[in-house]
Amino acid sequence: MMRVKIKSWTASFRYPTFQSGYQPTLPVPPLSTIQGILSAARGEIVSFKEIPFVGYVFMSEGKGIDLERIYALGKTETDVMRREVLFDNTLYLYLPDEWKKYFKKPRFQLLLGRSSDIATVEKIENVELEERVNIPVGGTIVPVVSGLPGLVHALPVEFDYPTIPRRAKTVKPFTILPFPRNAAQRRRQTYSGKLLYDLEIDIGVWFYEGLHGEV
Amino acid sequence: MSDIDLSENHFEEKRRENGMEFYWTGHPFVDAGLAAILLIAGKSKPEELQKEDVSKAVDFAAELYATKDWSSSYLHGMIFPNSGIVMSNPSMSKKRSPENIAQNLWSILEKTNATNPDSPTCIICGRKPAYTGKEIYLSVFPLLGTGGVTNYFHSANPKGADICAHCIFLTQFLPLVSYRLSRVLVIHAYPYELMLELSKGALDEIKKSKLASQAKGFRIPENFLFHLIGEITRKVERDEFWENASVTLYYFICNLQNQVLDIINVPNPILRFVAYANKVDYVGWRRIVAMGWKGKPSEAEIENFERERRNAVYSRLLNYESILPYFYNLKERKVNASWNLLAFYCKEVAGLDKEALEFIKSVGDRIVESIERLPNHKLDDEVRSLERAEKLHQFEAFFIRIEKVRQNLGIEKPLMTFDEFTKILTAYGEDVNVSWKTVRNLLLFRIYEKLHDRLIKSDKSSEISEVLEENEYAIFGGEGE
Repeated sequence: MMRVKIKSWTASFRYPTFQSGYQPTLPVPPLSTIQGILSAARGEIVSFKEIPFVGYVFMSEGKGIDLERIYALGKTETDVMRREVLFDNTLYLYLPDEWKKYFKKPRFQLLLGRSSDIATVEKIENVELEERVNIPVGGTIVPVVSGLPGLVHALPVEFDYPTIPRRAKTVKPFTILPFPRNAAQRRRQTYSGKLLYDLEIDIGVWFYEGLHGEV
Repeated sequence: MSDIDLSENHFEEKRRENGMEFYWTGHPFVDAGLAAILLIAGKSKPEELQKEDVSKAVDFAAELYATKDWSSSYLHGMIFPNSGIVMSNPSMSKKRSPENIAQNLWSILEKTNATNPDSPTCIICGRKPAYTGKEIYLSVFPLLGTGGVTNYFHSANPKGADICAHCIFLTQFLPLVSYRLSRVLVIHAYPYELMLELSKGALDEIKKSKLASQAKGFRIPENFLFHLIGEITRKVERDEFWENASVTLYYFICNLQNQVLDIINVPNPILRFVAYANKVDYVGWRRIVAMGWKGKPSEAEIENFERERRNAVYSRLLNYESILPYFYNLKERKVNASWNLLAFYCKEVAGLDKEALEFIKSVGDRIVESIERLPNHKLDDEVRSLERAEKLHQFEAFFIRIEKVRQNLGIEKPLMTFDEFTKILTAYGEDVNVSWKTVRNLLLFRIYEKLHDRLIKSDKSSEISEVLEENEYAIFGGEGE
């Protein structure tokens, strides 16, 4: 498989329903953001059902709050809202080899969130991950039934785009696991089942392969 | 590859076809509403809910929501501004009655299974078609955008958010398990059994007073949560209660002028530590917490402080910052808690492994063994040099001083080997929580634990501190001794 390293100065991944006055960011991107990145790279809407597997690990160095003026559509009035922003971000995407060509030359700008959260591809490489048990997982979202403790929230998996506005195709509850920062966090985020382990980043990667043909 | 995937059904409960199908969604507001209905029914699983249970909850909510206390300042002012469903809109005051509110709630629920193939899927549960009976803005579901700024929604959807009748219906019961502080506090937890436990207090209070729960007078959400954890831990015997618990606080206000939200995720190591502290060393934990307030509270004042003032210990825990300095009282040179609690904190929160902790403890014991033979003023002098070590070279100098003490006292074995010395100075420096300062704090804890009685007797004159500074200078190649 291949691993793409994507970097950005800023990122913001909004909660599906907290959007008025204050827009907090999720600590890691939901699967629907990954769908957006894949679609931007290939230049057309991508569905997870076309992809045999996908995994990701996201890291951020900090968080802040920005003030943003929002112009009401069709009106002269404006509104100021506070938006949480993640800083100095890295996203590792694990994909089948055929995706290399799309990330070597992405068709559209890659974004980690909104149109201002511009991201660049820093490295694309082949990796071989080793299957292990009892390893920590983080910087990703996992199904709540994994039993791992984190931030539980209902998140979109994939959107359907033929209509305007777009529609959610699949929504599920997930546990959001930030990248573990110390040994105690790593212990609490240790998954007892089998996972593929990325030795270089020292983390287990949660792969979504069941999406293939299902979404 | 991961052995759980999204094609599996994540919900254990059986689906029901009688229109009373309820399920947890993972959304804090919807789950809170479901928790309220379950608690009113005295049940713990959504699939156990019958029509009469829902009817009981609807009647209970409608009766409260029709009162002025609930409608204007709480529902309209903090959760559902101008709502037509719970009739918090001030213009509805004449028509507002329990019967009308109940009718509104039932009419939403009846739309749950309405299937319209053209309706988009609910953005919260992903199972039902979105409700199209009205525009879904913040009057119906807290913290959504308003119709005035449609660009909060995708492609400026004039219908608002795609949320189904099931999720809208449940959300209307959210106030029954929320705590009313300066804002509204919703505690979302997983497993859901824990959510019911953490929400129960709100409903019990509402049943007694018919008013929104005041969270026992607490004004700070995290203080209230830590108080609840203590209460539950002391009540629940099972050790594994917090084992893989996920707890997140949603502290918000949603009215027409202001929409504010704080999301406080409580990391699991913190939950387990606070539960452990309440269980094994409650008195010690109280002393640690008491040090977190500005202006030391007396025993009688602690309860008031806890209700009204922010606490540095709680804030630091939630931000993953070290609370080791709070384990001892530097001024009085005594420990606040047992070594057991300290060890649990180091292992489960700070990430120090058992071996490292034992090693530091043994070094602490060797230091104690060396300095306990000194006269009081010299003992004070040596401990003071460790207390004042704010830079690494000062910390190194402390060990050199102790080594000299051992030589002067004729103790044959050295304080530590060169490898151990290197380890203690550098091996714990990679993480901000496990640096040489961590080691210093642990050593001070051990020294205070063993030598508190002698240390409080020792002379603390300024003369000694002057001598101390001279000695440090001498060690680093200044004037000889």
